[in-house]
Amino acid sequence: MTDQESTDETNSSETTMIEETSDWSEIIFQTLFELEKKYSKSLRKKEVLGVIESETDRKRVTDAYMYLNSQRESLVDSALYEGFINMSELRESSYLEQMFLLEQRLNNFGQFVAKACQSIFFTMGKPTIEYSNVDFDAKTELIVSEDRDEIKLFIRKNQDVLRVFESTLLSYGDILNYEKDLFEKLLDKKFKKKELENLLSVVETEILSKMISEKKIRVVQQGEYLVFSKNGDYEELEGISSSVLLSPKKN
Amino acid sequence: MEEKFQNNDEVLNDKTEIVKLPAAITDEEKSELFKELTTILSRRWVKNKIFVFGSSEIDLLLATRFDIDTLREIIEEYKRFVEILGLEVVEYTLDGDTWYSLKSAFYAPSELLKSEFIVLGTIIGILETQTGPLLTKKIKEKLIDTNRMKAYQVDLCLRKLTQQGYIKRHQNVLSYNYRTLVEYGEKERRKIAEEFRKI
Repeated sequence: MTDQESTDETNSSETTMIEETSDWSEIIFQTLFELEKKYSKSLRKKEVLGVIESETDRKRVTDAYMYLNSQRESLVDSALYEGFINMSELRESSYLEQMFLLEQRLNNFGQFVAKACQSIFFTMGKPTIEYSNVDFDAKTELIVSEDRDEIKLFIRKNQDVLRVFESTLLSYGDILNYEKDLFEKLLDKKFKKKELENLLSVVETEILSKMISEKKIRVVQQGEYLVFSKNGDYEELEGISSSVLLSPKKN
Repeated sequence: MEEKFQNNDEVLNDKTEIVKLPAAITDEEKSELFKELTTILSRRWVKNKIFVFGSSEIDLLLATRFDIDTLREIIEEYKRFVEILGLEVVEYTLDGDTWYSLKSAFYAPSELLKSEFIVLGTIIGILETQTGPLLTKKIKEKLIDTNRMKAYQVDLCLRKLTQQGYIKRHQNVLSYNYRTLVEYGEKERRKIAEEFRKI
């Protein structure tokens, strides 16, 4: 036997080996594929396969990883293993179902969740000072019929107090007009509080208040007089502040 | 005399080592502050119809008039203080604000009933395993359609869990609220999900 012949022989044996392995890997892949189908189908239908059956299936594909070439084949292999795991879980839970009543299992689960809880710490109960407990409820009194006339008289006398105020909406122009009027009425003059109350209406007083806060007009109290002037030196008044409450007579 | 001075210096040095807070806060003030912190952090309030615990950082800043760094420093000190009592200071976020409250380091009785724990466990079990939004319908499917619980029971539990700050309900989508995340760590939630698969 020449060297040439021997090398030929080794080459041919290698090729047969490769052919065999490629055949073998095809068979293995076929088995993997079929088993994967079988398990995913049974899992979908929630059919439990026996322990022995699962175990023989697992043994059939134990060495399969050695013959896997492509990524697709590896994916099928891992999918099958996931199928095995899920099947084992399904089997366990089905055994548990047979062993324990549903309520018992739920109770156990609830207990488990309760145990895993690391609760927030707080003091129970309501605050000791409760505003709702203070007796602020309006009390109704029975009116004796003889007093009715008196009440009517009282209402007539105090109609102004009992009247519901209507809110007036002023446009920007209205406000400017009021401000102009107020300048004319008040600027560089001095008034007593009562005089002002008779002179101004409710709306005018509101606007005067706004003007003072916006520093459009300056008011200084001198004795019992209120002196109005235009933009004076505010710095000299800094830190001095007082308020005068006006209750205008006009509406 | 010299020895005395040295001793005094040592005492002073010791003191400066012990006092870690800004010099403006004396030990007496600090103990008063810790008492007040314990009271405020163990309170329960109602905010937007949901129970919240402890106090927000902004409220603490307003009440103490500290700057943020001083407040955080004090809370760090306070954490070490309550650790001895078996408590933990927890931080959680609520509507963008940071809140502080106390949590038991070991075990504290919970207010929830067994049925509420079951519903909460189911929600955790599903939320931990799925990625999409969790609809109320799915909880009902899991618990009512399989005859595990009654429909009114599940509704009641969901309402209480929402009120207690465990879950948020936006239309029909359920998600975790701050309390689940505070009381159940990531590991616990994963364990619950595993248990849930078994039932």
